[in-house]
Amino acid sequence: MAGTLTVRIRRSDGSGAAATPPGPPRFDTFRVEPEPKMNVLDVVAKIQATQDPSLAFRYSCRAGMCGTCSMRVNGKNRWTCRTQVEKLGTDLLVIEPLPHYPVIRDLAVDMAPFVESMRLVIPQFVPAEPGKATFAKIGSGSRERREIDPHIECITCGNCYGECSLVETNKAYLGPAALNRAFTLIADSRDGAARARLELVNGHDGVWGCHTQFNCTEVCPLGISPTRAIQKLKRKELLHALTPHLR
Amino acid sequence: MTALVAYLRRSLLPQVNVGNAAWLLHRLTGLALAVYLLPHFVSINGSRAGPAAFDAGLAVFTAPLYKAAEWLLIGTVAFHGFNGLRVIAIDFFALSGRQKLLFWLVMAATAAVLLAASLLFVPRILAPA
Repeated sequence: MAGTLTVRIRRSDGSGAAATPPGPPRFDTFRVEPEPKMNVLDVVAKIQATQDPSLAFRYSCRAGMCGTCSMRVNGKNRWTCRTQVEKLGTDLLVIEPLPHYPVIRDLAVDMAPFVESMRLVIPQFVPAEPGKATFAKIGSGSRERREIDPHIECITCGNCYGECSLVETNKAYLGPAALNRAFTLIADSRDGAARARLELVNGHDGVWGCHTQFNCTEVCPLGISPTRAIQKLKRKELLHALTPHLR
Repeated sequence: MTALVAYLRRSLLPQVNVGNAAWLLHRLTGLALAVYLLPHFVSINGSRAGPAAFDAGLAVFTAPLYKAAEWLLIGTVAFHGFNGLRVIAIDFFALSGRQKLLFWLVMAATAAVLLAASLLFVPRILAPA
């Protein structure tokens, strides 16, 4: 087991609504005795319980299912409940709120921009045949299924949105998760809103804003590649533009 | 100081993702080539004054400094061209899962071109005609 941990946490009272609080960020330093299999969320909770009750952060399931405990740890956005301190390979933890989100306080961010980006792409399934009584037959080994499968596990933790440098430079950019979600529905033959979504994401704030830097792909805790979904959407946009009468 | 270190960490650590380096190099080489084109057009335009004047104009570029710059130009064109192929592969041929390998192939191909160019250029830089 490593020695005492030095934990630097970026603090903010959240008085500024901007994603980046004005002035230099304040970092508070804490020392924590590590325990076996301790994860970063445990470290933050221990600091709040024993050293500073005013430390604000968010978590819910503690099992890697909800994504709400996401923070930036040592320069990378992560689910803190699934990040073991030992595996970081250092005694120094620098913990910051997810970038590109308004900070509510300390490590808790306002997910509103992310939720709004998801809402914009019609994230819900829209049945192509609402009155249909029978199940659609899409085989598990079919081409359609294999196209969509690598992109469906997203739990909308927002880590990719916080890592994307295009979100940094263009706040109107839809971001990786929303475009990934749009792809899963556009590629679904049972869905009836594919054309509407293709129109929605066809622009600089949509798929064409992606610079294929793969930051979202690098950071996704589930190993999803939103970049790949966006590239597939670009090909669909091209096909849609050339053959607008087809789906 | 701690803030600066944290900032540098945040700024520099994601650089291990070669996608950022590829994008930045592509943008920089693209801008460099766009800037290069302007004087290039001007010097080529010298051919309108006749062969002798054109040759005299181009003689300026045999100086070692220009030869070294020309060698760099070849590297710039090579990277921008090879990475352009990588971008097309990612965009249109579903090879985004291989982007890191493709990036290192681009770097290797660029290095190979620069090495081959050195065989021609190093003697000219060291011993100008």
